[in-house]
Amino acid sequence: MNEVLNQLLDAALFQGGYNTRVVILGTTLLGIASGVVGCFALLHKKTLSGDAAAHAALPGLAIAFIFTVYFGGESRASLPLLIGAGVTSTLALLGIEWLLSSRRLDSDTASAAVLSVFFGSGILLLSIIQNLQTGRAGGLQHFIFGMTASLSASDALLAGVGAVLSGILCYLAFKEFRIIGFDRDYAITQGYSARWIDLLLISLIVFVTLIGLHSVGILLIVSALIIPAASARFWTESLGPMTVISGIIGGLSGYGGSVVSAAVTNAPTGAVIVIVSGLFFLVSFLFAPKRGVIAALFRRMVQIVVVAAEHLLRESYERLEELSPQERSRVTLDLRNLHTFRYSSRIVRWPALLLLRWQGMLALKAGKKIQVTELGGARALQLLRRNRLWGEYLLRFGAHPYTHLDISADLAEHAISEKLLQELEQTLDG
Amino acid sequence: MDDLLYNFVSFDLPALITALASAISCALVGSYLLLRRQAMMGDAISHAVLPGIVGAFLLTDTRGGYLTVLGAGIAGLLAALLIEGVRRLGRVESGAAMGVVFSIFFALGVLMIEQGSARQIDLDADCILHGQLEGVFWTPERAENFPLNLFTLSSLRELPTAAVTAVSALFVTLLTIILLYKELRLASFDGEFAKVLGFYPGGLYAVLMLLASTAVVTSFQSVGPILVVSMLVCPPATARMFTDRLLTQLTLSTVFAIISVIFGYLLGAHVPQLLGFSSSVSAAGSIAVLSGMIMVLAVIFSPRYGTVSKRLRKRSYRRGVEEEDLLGELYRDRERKEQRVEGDQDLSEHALQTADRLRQRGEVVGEGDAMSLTESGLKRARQVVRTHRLWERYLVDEVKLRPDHVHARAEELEHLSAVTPPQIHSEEGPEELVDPHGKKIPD
Repeated sequence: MNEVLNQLLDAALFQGGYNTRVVILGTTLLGIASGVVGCFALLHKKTLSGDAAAHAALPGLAIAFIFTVYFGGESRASLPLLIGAGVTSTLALLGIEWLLSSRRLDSDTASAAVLSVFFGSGILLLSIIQNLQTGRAGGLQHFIFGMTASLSASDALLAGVGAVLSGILCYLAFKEFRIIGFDRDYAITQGYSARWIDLLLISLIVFVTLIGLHSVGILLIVSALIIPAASARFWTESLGPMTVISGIIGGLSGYGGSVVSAAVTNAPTGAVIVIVSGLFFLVSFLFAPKRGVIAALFRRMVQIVVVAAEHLLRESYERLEELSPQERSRVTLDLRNLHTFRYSSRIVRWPALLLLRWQGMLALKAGKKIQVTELGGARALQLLRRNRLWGEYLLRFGAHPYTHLDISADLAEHAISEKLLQELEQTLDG
Repeated sequence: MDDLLYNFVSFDLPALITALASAISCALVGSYLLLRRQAMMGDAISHAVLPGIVGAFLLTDTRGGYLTVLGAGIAGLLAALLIEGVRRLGRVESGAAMGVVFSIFFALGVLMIEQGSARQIDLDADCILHGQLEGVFWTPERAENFPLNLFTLSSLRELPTAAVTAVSALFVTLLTIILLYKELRLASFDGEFAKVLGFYPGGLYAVLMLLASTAVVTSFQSVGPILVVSMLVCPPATARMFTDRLLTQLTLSTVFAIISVIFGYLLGAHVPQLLGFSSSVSAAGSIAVLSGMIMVLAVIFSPRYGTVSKRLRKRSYRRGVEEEDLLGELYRDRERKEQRVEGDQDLSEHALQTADRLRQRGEVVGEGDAMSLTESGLKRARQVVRTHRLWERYLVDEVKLRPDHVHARAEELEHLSAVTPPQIHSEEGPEELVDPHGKKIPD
């Protein structure tokens, strides 16, 4: 166990061999690039095309492999393989466009069909290669799951340079990507060429996919595009910061994944990178302050309690409405007689009651009795006014029957702002 | 002869049965996924079942038992649920939600495989990935009464589990589809309406996902996770090019699935050897490629929705428009000549071809300035001009457009054969019907 930890530390601090260092650096840069490009892919709803492009790389790799072996070249030379992969990936994307142009198949179907058929032809070619027995196809298998061990320093450098390049391209085309992603029709009327921008984005996706083939592998490279971008989306509402966050998450996942993969045996890099980025996603999904699930749940719960408390307060006040102000603060009400209390669930009614007490709007007396304080009375009056004005408004302008006002008014009273209240008052005065 | 038969029974038959049963259940489930525009969900599930399969394997140390199916089914359903959860709670676009969930599941599965292989467990990632259709074989005892002894209990017990699970999955799928035919159809075409009628689309969706997981899992061993997608998508997409009816869709996709499997298997397993190669190629791969090719052919040549027929229809429509325009032009020339106005006869290359077609059909005679309408041509031309002027009248009277704005629109409307031209009645009788420009509307 200690040994693994030591190796992990060595790799993490760039103390491993030269090869390991370069590989980790390359994978980190790749993660950053795929994170940034992924944001635009997500915005343009092109993530599944990325998946198709990656799967379609397999037949290209196999064909290039057969050719290089046939012409007596080095069977694991990277460049011919990448060119082959690039050609078939592009063909696959064109194929999807063609299937879509028949206007009979939707984009999901087209992507899935192209993806599986191209991959199938890749598997077919792989089985031929195995039969040829001219060279080990083992070099190719690594492309499927990704294996940094199979990555040479020059491959990693290639990936790193490519990553930096695509990052720069994204920076330069940021405005175009943004405007076309958000409002395509508007962008076209403004004179942007949507076609060229689409083409640029698709090429970037294919490019990132190709340089990621070595380390992440065909099957999982799409997650390097999607997961960081989808995680970043939870933290921000604007595209600029999103690309930065996504780049950071992608970079950290690439770094973490390749470090673990270098230190632990039998941990394919692609899988580890995906799991690390999956952890980032989980954290973002749960804990992001605005869009996160826990924050949303908390907000919803607070809202439910506040609404229940306000209903309770209003009902209590309605019982006292006929009395004079002096009498009001003296009368105690039995909670068991209040409808809002009796018919609300236990989980909600006690927090609501405690909230009102904490706010100083109610005083709790012995024997499940309450007293409305002066402050509470004022607040209840506000609510009551909103409730009744809204009901009146619906009656006069919304053509609601008299019996249908309650439900809407009960909901609206919590949401009517001061400004809206003034508007209501003016409208109903006239 | 007996040797050949025994080989067929022990190698080709089990593989074919497995592949056929898998492909048919995939095609049936895939048709529903396709109609719901959720083909990628099949892809997602086929990736997501991996940890379930590997987990079951690590627990029991056997491949292809019923526990594998169960583990994969759980993983598939869990993934479908998580995708739905991420999509709704996280407000993530559905494609991205799928991508996130299935790749994490798949990565976990890959990691489990690799870690398992470290513990000397024979579970090869490549093997799982490609599927081993060739690995499905049956070794019944070769007794005296050879072909007949196959049907004895002891021989049947030796049947490969892959084949048995695939066939039973097919029965489950068929049974579910037959029992829930109406419900699934309604939910696939109009989920909102199904909800209004009191069906529970969420439950039906879960049933569909369960069926998809079952189909995927049982096919998984023989063809691998990615080629399963081709079985799920290609035959249904091919059928979709031919029909708009659900029952026909299901039948046709089954037929295409059968064709792809039988010929794909032959191409992969036997044709290479017939051609003199030393060994066969991946049958699963060739089935996928063949099903893709059939789909491409359908997209090109389907009589109703294919690109070729679409182009032909477009051309015949365009030609019809050109002919009608020329006929109308000639008719108007006639009108002007009656009123002693010089007509222009400046025809382009394109129009000359149109004129040739009309001449062949005997609707016009003569060339250039001397071109004139025959009896039948006059009839058709009158109809065209009548339709045009009726539309102009209608656009001015009913749509309240200005008379100088209606010509271009009437020019388009006059060619629409599916729309009957408006009926305009004049109080002075049909002879007095005129268009907004004061020209007479012919009968």
